[in-house]
Amino acid sequence: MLSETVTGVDFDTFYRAERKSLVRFVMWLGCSDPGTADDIAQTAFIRAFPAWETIQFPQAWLRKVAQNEYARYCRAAARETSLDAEPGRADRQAGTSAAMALEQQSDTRDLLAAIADLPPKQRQVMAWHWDGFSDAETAVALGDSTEAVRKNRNRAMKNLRRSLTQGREEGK
Amino acid sequence: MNRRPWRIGVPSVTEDEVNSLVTRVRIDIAEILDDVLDTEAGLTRIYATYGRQSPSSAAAPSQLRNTRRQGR
Repeated sequence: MLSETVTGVDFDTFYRAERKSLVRFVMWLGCSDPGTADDIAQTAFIRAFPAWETIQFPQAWLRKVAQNEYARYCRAAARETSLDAEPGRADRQAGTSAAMALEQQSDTRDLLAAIADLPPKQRQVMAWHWDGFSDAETAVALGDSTEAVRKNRNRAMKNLRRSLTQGREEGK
Repeated sequence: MNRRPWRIGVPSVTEDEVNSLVTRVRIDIAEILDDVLDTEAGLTRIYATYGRQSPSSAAAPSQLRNTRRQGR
């Protein structure tokens, strides 16, 4: 995936094809509000636009920028609300129709809640993993070792299973 | 000793179930985003950020450049 270069793909075509997956990536990072996730994805595309000809691996480049933007958003939200930077809380002020539509999907609600409970590094690793990046590619993108990515992915899966099992028990 | 009796009989969520859930949620999110994302408006905003007009809302930039050159 990281080896997919931008050569020959114009910005508009790429934007039309990739916008939705970048918004979803931000949601995988723990952003439960689609409107906020879209704003963050849009910011990443705005950054990419003037540098488009020089960006070699656009999928990875945009995800790195979006990930940094989301971290910045969480820090700002935490400062404003005097809460910790737990993203599930930071996003909930947005009552958009898309957010409400997602809230009505129990699968989506349960998974996003379980993701929001993960530590940030585990959320990041799973977001890259679910978007099809290998552990080695994720390691390059996050500046970690492949082994660290693999361990965080395994821990994240264990935590997700535990959290979703707990939800199943409570719903019984 | 301290075990909660209501835990008995509740099977743990497996890794395969998590992966299936992710697949279903991926589809749910895509359907919802299809309804709310206006791609052309998003593109127009990006172009506008840099003081340009999106090709989809006007003539292509290359055509504009050619027009300007011809006008000189």
